[in-house]
Amino acid sequence: MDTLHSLALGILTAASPLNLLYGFAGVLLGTLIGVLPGLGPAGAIALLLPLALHAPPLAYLIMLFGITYGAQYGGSTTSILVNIPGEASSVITCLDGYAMARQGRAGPALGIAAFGSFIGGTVALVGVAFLAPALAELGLRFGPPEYAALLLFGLTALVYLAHGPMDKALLMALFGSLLASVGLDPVTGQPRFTFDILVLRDGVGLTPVVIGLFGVSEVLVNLQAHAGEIFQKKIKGLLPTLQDWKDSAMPITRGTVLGFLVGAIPGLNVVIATFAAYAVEKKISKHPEKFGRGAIEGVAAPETANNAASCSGWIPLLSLGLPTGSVTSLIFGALMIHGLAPGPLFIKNSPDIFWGLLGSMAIGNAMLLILNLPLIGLWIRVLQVPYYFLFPLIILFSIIGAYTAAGNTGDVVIVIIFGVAGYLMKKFAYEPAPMVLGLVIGPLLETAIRRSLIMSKGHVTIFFQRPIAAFFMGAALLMLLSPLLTRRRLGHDIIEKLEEP
Amino acid sequence: MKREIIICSFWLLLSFYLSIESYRLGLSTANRPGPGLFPFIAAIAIGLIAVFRLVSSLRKSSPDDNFEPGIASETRLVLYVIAGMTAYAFLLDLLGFLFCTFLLVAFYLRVIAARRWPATLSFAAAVALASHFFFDVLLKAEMPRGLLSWLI
Repeated sequence: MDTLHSLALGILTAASPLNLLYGFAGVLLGTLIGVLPGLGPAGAIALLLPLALHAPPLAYLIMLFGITYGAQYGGSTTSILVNIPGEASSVITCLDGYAMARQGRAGPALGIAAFGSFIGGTVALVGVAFLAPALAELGLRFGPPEYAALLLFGLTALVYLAHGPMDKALLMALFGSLLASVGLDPVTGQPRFTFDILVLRDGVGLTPVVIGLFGVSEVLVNLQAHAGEIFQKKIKGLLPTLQDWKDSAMPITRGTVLGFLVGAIPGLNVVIATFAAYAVEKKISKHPEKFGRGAIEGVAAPETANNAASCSGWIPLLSLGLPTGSVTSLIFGALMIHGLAPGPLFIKNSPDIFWGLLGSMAIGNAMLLILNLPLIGLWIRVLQVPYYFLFPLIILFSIIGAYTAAGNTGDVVIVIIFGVAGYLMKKFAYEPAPMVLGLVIGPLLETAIRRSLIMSKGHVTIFFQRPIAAFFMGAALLMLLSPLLTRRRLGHDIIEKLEEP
Repeated sequence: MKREIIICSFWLLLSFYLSIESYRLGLSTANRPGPGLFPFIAAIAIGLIAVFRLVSSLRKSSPDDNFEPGIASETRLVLYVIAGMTAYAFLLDLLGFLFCTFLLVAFYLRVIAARRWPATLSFAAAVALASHFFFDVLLKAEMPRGLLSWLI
């Protein structure tokens, strides 16, 4: 009862005019970037990080959360109507969604995607409300060794589940944590790798790095991309028929459960949830041959799963302080900018923020449903804006974002350096997510390891003597060493198969 | 293979330099970990992975990487974008936000997108004025005024 009461209070907090305004801006912006290929939620959040200094904490976080789930909605619209997934999490929706649109059933496809997303997001939200505080209680038993082991486990999980070779992902994670050690040493105050450059004394900021990695590099990669074919048919009727609802009821239920579970596991992401939900529906369907040819179940399940996973993906961050990917790392950074430390004490110390955020998700999901159905025509017109008008704006916002955060051009130079680095990383197939995670949790990991070693007088065995720490260290070591033993990552072949279109 | 050797050499050099610097910072003092310990471990791990990748790529002895078609024109576009950003960063204080923004957008539209002058100038002016209104007037972000400080 306490949980439901707190959630109701959170909804009331989120319903204040200012929070509603920020929430509306977030979901609208999220939908827009979901529609536009080339700028994902991570890039948009990166561009908006400097705003953290000026906006009230809760309202600002509500906007960032709105961007993340708004992008899931927007991505599905373009997948269905023009066969262009605005987001990676909507790739699988193209298969049956676009096929439905070609058969003149774009309306039911969009409708079921919107309703499924609403149901998935809302049910997952209740799950988060119950599970996150329970996990946080467990997290209160964590001392420095447990926390260090948990952070190592989170970093290793992301490396293990990276799409490309694991050694490349590990290189990126290590490089990110090395970047994090630039600046003054947190314990002794001694400058490290600053080269007498004043800007580096405060460390390499998360904001300019992610703006470069996600904003600028996307522009550099996309400059030569061509716009796709635009769907010209008129959209008739957005509501699914009774038969559509009957066909979609169980896929929506299964998509919610699967999306929630996959999203809550550190390292697994929204994309995997959508592919898994689609694979399950195809496997258990009495008519698997209909999949790929306009089966509404093939839209309902992944679209529900992506919103449920996007919602439950906050559990590790909000309850244990463990970011699990680029977007959660950025939100972690945004919380830190406001002096809010995500972790086991977050819910206890900042209940207004935690429950306000959950409340905003409930309102945001409803807002998206009401907002998006009438605006579909507008989003399609947005898609037709030529890229050569968009890219100067993205570059300009990147520069302004970095400049306003620090008030000097030093951070703009960092944006340029990491823009080029991000471009080269994409060309040479190095993933940026482990690097960002390394940069974000590097200082926390270093502090936790150093405190643990001080506790144990220099003995590393402390990480293996305490049960919780030993569990996470064992799991991390298993993930790191298993490819040497099996020559393949456990389960990675399944992920690869699921991600094949 | 040549590309992989170059990339691994970069990682190895980085690892070598950072491990020496970290060692200089101090690894430990009287059972207390020093400021160099964490970066030292990370730098050594980077070096080990780079050696592993280098040896693997030498063993494979695959033919040299083929360049993607259109890579030269793509590189040219990338250089233009970066040149525009760099010039913006260094001229911002001198020329001011409004004028720099106009020049940057005009440069991108004319040189990269090959738009005609009327479209280029009108879009660049619209973006510069709108950004000035939004960031300077509305958000009071205090962007540099530079040459136009007497006017705005």
